Amino acid sequence: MNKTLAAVALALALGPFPARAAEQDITRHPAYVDGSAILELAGEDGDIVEVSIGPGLMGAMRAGVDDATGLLSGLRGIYAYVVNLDHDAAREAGARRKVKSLEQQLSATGWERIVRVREEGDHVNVFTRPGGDGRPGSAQIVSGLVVLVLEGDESQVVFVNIIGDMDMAKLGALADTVNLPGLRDLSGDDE
Amino acid sequence: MAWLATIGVSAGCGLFHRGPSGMEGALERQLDCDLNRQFGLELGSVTAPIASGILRAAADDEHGSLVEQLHLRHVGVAVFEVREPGDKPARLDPRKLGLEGWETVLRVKDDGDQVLLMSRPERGGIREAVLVSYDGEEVVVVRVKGQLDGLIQAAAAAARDDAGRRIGTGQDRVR
Repeated sequence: MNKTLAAVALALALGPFPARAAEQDITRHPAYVDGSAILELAGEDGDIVEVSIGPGLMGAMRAGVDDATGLLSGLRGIYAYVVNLDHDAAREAGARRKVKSLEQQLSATGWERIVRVREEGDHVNVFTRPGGDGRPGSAQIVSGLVVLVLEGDESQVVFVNIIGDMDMAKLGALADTVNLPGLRDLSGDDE
Repeated sequence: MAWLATIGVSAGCGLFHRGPSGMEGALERQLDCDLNRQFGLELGSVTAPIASGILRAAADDEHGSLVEQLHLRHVGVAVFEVREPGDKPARLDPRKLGLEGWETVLRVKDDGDQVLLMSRPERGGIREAVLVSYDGEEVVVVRVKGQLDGLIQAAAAAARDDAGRRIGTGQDRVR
């Protein structure tokens, strides 16, 4: 149940809820990526972990935890899906196609790939969307992050979309906070 | 723990009711089983504050303060026994549970167990939440109304402390 515990910790660690209706339509944010295609891989009864933390939740989270690094101040939402493919060859092939399609979509819409790992059946991709609006000193600010992972041994696919301004220098801290596959590659942790 | 104590206090007061209603049929259809209600509890706008007051008096300062912050207006709990389970219970679908307008915070289906946590935004904070859990033998439904931000924030702090300890010792990283 590691996935479950991690998801619960993530949901709780990234706390509370909606403020104004205008803040709710996060799907219009340029860094929002619809990952529902990944969720569809689970069918009607497959194992999943789904975490949705919208702007309201993020706001309450900021109020409830000590954000000494300022890591949370610019975040608008976090959406994550972990889908178990049950070592089903057809579903794994479908997952590879959907991940590849998402990679192409991201590359074509202004996202930059900052991590690409191919190792023993595992595929890890991390994309960022440039942010900072060209302000002086803002070159290391990104407005969104997408993690796409295909884990061969575990036969699962992971999609994470983090929306909002983030300082690249603090992504390692974020990786430690949310503790999800793919983000580990940003943390400098060699485990 | 606070919820268990609340239930205990309320049970002591003899405040048994049917608990959250309207979801039983939808759950039976989704989980492909019959549900037999074993326990139901509902505290309303009068009884929930009374139970909270008793609980605050019994709790230590930290937990008493937390309970006070929650301003509980409603607590509903129902526990169902699962009878004649089907071969393949579907994943819980919030749209089929009459929870339109609610937000899915967490949905997990893992090795036969399922957890669904929904919230409904209201006046800039967490005012209502529903938790459904299923383990193949029991279904538990909890519905709470109040100013729940404090509860989530306390849980967040605990989760972060726990994550910090695990990261510090290099254990239990997700694979």
